Amino acid sequence: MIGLRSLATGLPAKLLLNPRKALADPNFPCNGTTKPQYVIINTSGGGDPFACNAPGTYDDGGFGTGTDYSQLVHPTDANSGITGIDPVGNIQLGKYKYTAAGPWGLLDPTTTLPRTSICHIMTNTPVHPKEPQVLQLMGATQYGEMFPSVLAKQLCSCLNPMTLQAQPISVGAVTPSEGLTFNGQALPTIPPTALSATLTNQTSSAYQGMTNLQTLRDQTLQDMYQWYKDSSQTSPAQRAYVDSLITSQSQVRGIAQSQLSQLGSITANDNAGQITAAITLIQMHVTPVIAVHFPFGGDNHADPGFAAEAGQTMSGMAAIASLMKQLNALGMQDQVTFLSLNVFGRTMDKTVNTQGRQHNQTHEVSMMIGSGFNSGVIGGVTSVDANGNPVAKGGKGFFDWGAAGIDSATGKAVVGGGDIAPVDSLASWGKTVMAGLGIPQAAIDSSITGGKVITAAVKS
Amino acid sequence: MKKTPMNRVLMTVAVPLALGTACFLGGDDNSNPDGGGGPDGGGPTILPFQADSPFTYVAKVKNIMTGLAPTQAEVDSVANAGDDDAKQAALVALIDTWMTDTTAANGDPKDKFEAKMMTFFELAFQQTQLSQVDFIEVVPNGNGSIGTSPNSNLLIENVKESFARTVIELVMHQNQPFTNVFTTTQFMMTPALAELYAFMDWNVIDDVEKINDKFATQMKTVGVTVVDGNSIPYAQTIDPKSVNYMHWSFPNLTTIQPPGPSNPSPECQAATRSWVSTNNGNTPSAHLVHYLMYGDLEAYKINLGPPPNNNCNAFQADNNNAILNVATNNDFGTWKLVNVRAPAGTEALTPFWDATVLRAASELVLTTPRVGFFSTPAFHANWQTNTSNQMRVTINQAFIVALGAQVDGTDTTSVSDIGANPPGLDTVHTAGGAACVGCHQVLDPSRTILMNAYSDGYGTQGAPPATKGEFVFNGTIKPVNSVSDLANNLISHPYFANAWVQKLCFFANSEACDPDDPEIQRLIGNFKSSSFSWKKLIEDVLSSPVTTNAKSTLSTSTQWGPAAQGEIVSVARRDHLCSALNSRLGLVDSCQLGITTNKALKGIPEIAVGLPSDGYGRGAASPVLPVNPTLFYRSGLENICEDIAVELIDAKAPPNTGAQMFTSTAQSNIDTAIAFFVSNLMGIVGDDPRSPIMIGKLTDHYTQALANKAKPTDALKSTFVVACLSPNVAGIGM
Repeated sequence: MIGLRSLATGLPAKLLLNPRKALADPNFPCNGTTKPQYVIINTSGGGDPFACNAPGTYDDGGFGTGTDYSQLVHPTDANSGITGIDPVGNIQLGKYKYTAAGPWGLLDPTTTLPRTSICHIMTNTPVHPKEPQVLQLMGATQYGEMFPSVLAKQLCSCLNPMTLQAQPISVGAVTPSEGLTFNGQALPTIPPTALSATLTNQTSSAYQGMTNLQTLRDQTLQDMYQWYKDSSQTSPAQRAYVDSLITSQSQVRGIAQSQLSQLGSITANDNAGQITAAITLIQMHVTPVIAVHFPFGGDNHADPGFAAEAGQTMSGMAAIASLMKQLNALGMQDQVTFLSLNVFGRTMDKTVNTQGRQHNQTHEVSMMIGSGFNSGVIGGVTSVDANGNPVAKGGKGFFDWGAAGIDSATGKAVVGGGDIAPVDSLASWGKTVMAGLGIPQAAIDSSITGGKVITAAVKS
Repeated sequence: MKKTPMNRVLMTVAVPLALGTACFLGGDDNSNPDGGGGPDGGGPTILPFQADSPFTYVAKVKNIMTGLAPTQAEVDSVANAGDDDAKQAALVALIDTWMTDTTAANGDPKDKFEAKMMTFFELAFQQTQLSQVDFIEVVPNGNGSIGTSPNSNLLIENVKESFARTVIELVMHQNQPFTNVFTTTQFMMTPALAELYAFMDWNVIDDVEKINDKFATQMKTVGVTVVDGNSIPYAQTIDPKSVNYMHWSFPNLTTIQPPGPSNPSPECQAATRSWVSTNNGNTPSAHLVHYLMYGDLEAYKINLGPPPNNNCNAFQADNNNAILNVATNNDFGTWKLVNVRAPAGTEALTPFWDATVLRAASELVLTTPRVGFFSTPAFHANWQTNTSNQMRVTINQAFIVALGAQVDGTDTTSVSDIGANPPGLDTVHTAGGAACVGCHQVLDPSRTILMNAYSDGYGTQGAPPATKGEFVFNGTIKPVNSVSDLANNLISHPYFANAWVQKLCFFANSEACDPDDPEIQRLIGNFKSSSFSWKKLIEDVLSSPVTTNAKSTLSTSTQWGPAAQGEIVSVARRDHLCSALNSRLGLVDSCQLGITTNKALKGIPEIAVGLPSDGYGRGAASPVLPVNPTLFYRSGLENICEDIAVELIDAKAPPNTGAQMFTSTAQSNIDTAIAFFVSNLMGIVGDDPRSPIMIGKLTDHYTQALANKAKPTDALKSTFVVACLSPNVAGIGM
């Protein structure tokens, strides 16, 4: 019965057996994380073709995967009409030099690429609505927590200063499906354009008198809250709500107003707006994890010449490069890790993907850029069936190009082998991210079941 | 009670689980999210139940129905009614009053309850969450899709509102059974929306986004000519007998595309421009005339050289001189019920270019079948499909809307009854393995019904599949011939009544109700036995203890599902908050929720877009409903309250007629204002024991502010902000 319920609800059986125990986690002490970082994670429920243009899909850089990369199709300047998407062959990742779509060359070879890890994994779903489940690492996280929230809980109180809130914030979700949850509860998405007006104390002459009374107002509200809490007429549900108001009021007053001015420069919820919002929220120590959505081509089933894919790969990679450049300029490059995780990747075989790409449950590329990670490409692609099992290209059951197995010690793709099977690669990626952030192994293992740390990707 | 498969589906609720929100900053040590016991305890996760008084639940129900605060008489009518049943009956009487109360109206629709239901139905039927870009695939063209001008934004607002208004008209004005809205071919339309429906029938999109432009075919030799000035009366433009047939006046045509890199050719400043088959290949198109109806001119090629020299840039109007306009004809605000029917024999389609026909029309003659919620442009723009998806997202979202459940591999229909090869099964997808077969055996026959009616671009289907498909969903298998059959199968499905009770549970309580709760079974039974009366369902759900918490129910007191939390006091999400502020303070759409605009929002609307709101996601059977206040909510609400305080207290002029104004000029005015803040803004009536307490706290605040050297006006504004930030305004159920 529990198993059936688990299937029906999408919630782990463990949670169904003892929901109270599963969800009781009121505070999140720092438990020894050695390299705490803020995290910016780029995620899309559209299954953007980010993976199709990443290092490791054009060649193996000399790593020796044995894959016939000529069978994979990529946009070109000529076909797409987008100048600059033609591949470049000088993406130095670790010891190897890879080919990738042109805009990958925007990543700084001295400050960004040396800390960039590209992981070829599979999410094991071709279904858009599974975006929340992918963010839960397809059932691998404890109690079905979303991975951004897993990280947030581990990081919030290890950062110095600790963040105002434990919950992550999405400033980029374009649909409710891309929204985040924390302890199973939906979190609102905050558009970057709303941040300034929302957080900034109003200081014009019409408001100055009210702003001057803010402390007194907080005292009155605190007094009111306390009355509600003490009153026998207040129900436990009402009391719990008042408690949450008390918390939010404390958090608001922790905001450094002096750092809010840059939010005023945000004019759109585009890539640039999201970058400014994310950096500012980090500088204000509001939250340890911020989710953004940089488009990389969207759900491009119908994309003749890969024009949309090419155009948005240009703008998306430019956004990542810009983010890194700004972090460096602010001296924050060692305080922030950038991640990406999409609901799935897209098909790449040249014989069928000429007018767009289909969903690919067997391949996705997630990247990490941060001081805790070794530069390199982890895993790679091989010809697979619909379940991700290696089959010969054009052979019986051939589906497309999917993630190969991974040797965790070297990061090398091992077709049909390695110590990390493709189906375990998503959980392994999650564990690897946690390891790169210095989260203790015990906490990693209790947060994510299955998979293992890809040690080759983690800076020792 | 044994959980049925349907019950299990209903347990997929992403319902609130209390948060430990502080990361060792702020907060309260007592804020245990579980409400009792330690983290390793084995007790229930829900909070202990404590019945609410009429002071609380009358305020809650009136708030979620109208945004207004209760009156003393209204609370008394319930509090003094005797036993629980009598109290519930008294509340039903109030609900009936609130459903029909049209007093103190602000804006459109006139009735506050209708306004609430508008929002509810837009979300429940998944007709909202739309912007211009969502129409790119259902109105493809490459030059701006449905349009980008301010008038086009009004059209998009019409698209979003249409079906909700249809439901209100049919079930609330005409008292038709709620089931009728699923089978209706009548839709509330403005002349502008009628133009869109008709235009989409002339500009037909096929499975691969290719346009069959019937207008271009019909006007191939007539052409379309656009002429500077006002010399051609519109009556002549649309008169086939006139020499000016399809000649369109366009004031200032010569100046709208000024010379420059975007418009390098002198042709872009010509006073007369013609689109005919002999003119450089610029044949007339339906999309060109669709734009002209809104005062726009789409970008077009003039074949004078390589790009960009062969292009004239698009022009978007920002005035009321368009054929479909605001000022003269109110073409975006005049709503009426319009029937959509297929042409009889060779009967002509309704001409989308004829505004006089559109304004007078009580029916549209169109080939694309329009039946119920899943056939609207809004639903189609929300759930775009393609040659790979082939209507699977559409049918799945239709199941979610109508039946509160989706195809997720747990369907209870016997596989042997479906058969190994049901009509419409896509063997390519099922080749992926056994895991795919379960979903596709249900999805594929059902989506084939839609494929027979619509192309993948939601145009008229010109190349239907070989089979009609079959209705297959959770125990029901029925043969079908049309989308009308699909609609009828939805309303006759066993899940239907339960689904809509649950949707109102979410609306009222921010979480699902226990489907096994006898109280819920009573509500479901009443809904069925009332011939699916929406009025009866509203009465029942909103007066039920599952909403009022007047007494314990299984839904509010037991751990009926893995995420059940019992009674929830939720943050006042955007729609409820803005409605309450408008209704209680006499403001008109202070959050600008009713306007689609491409202009930068300022002030309250700018903050409102970031407030937690109700939403739905692809493949999610339950709505996304944030329930806890965050620091963003707290901060944003404070700024909203300050904005309103500046507008209403000691202001030179009210922001709108009917706004409740306050003054700090005398102590009597201060006392009156504070009394209003407690009774009308916070919704605490005079006999409520909390009333004198809250009046005292606000009065103390005002006095202390003066003692801190604040001016009386600032002291009163700050007092208003305290009331506005109080749990009674920021929460639903206090």
